[in-house]
Amino acid sequence: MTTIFFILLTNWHQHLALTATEVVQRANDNMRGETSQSELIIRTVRPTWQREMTVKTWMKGEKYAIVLIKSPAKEKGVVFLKREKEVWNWVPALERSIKLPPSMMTQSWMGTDFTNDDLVKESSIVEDYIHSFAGDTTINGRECYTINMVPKPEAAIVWGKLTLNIDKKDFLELHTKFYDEDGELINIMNAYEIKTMGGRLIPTHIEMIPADKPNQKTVLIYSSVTYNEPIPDTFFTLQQMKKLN
Amino acid sequence: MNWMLLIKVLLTLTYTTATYAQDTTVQRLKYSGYIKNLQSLNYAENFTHLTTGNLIHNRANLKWQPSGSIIAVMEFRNRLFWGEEVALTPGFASQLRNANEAADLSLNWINEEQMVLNTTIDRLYLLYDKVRWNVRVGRQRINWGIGTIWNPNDLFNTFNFLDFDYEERPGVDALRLQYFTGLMNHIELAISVGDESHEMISAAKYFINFANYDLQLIGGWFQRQPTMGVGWSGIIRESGFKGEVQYYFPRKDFQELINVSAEIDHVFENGWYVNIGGFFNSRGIKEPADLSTIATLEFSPKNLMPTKWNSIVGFTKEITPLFTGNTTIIYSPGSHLVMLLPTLSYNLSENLDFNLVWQSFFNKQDTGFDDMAHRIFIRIKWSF
Repeated sequence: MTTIFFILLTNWHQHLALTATEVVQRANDNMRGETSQSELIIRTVRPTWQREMTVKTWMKGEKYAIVLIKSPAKEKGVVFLKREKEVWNWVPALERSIKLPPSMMTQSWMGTDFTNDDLVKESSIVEDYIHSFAGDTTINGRECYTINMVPKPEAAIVWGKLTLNIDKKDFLELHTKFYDEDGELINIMNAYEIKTMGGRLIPTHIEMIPADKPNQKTVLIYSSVTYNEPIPDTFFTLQQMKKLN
Repeated sequence: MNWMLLIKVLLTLTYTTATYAQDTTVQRLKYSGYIKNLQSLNYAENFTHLTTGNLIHNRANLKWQPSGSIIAVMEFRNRLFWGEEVALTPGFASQLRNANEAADLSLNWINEEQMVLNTTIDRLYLLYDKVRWNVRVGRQRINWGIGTIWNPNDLFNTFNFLDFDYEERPGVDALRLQYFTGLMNHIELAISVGDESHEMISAAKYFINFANYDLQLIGGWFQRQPTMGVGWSGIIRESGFKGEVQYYFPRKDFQELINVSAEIDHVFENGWYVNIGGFFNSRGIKEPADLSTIATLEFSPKNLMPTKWNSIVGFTKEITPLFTGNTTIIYSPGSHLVMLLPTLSYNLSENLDFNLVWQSFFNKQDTGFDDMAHRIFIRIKWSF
């Protein structure tokens, strides 16, 4: 009994002692892990149409990432490889790898409401921002911290400010607002359908809604996630990128 | 034809393995491809005379992986050409075969005055793949190019950049060996069997990734002429910076030649993708060229553009996620040749795409810039 109380107490103390940066760090670790592999559907919704794309991703820390497109047929086999600050795109039909200019990273990824950076996480929500608490809120019955993040001056980030709402118990990023440098709201992110996947409790639906176009959105729907299965560094190479088809 | 038998065998395998693949996780045989319809309108000067053509084009890609280290690939295109263009082009069917492929894997099923049906196998190779090295033998694409339009380093491929409808590009009958010296470094050796004149190309490439730059060094023989090249792809601030240089040494029967291409690309915050580049061909023409010089041009790795100095600027904008517009303008000072190449692409449904491609050619005459020809292409593509 005393042990349980001790654990509860220390946990409570830990929570109290958490800084805003540590909360963001834990939420980030929750979704990422040392390595992660996932399969997901990317659904782009517009007032008159919608399209779906299925992709497979491999990530290792914040340095390495690979995204493989599995459908639609036209883009099947297209791969994006990220190694530190460099990103390549492999187009199997052309048998060619194209290095992407850094300015492309902040642009929409294949017509979705996500940027290239959102997908391959060039910038780090932990390292590249300054974090501060901005109150508490409740989202879908879950108690959340509200945290403001502003980019560090040296970080190459398009946003002026981000407001995150992170679940206090399970450290899940449930709602985020993205503001531009003039303080105007640009994007809203919602995360829901919380399920256990890959041994972790995570939101399996993540949607991005442009603030000025409330009737359009892009939803990421995770169908499987595996965390912390070792992936060798040799996997994140141009050589491997060509073998994924 | 022996290779027709091969297709039958492979198709039978597709059927049996596809059934088998349902209850195994390893998909041993994969297939993909598309069917396209291309309507072309060719106008002479001042839109005075119109020639039309139509092409129904099917491509099938088959890939068989019997084990982890062996992959067999066959890709072929079936094309049905019909209309005025076929009737008005003398020897139309005989021009369909790609001259730099040693073995004849092209067959005309129908060769009528107004209609030609052709099948061409443009990939047919075996790949043996180990962790640090691999070897590929057969008809394949050896792509050493880095830039968008002009690729001086691309020694093994002959193509016409105006042929937008052939994204895959022709293959070459060759042997290629790759050895990986590090995570991002490799050596590549390739030898292509000669074309009809039995002139082979043999070259080596060393590729290294260093300080955010992809760098490649190339040396070898292009037919009987020694050649050396260098290519790079890197970053200047937020923009991409790519280039290729290829030098051909003078020999008794061959003249010295240098081809240089360089380009910068950038995506602006409003979503415009802009690409600016240049190309220099030391043996290119500097004087105003007439249409016949351009139209009868034989593209080759040594002759990527008939004119000496060339500049290109391209703009691409995603108007909606389904609708993309692009305009490329090529200007060759000296010869005063201008090519205006706008395109529009629209995704009609998940696997159905519509393209409108326009190609206009102008050159400067004594009286000013004159249009030489206009080509309009309307394409529907269904991918599977």
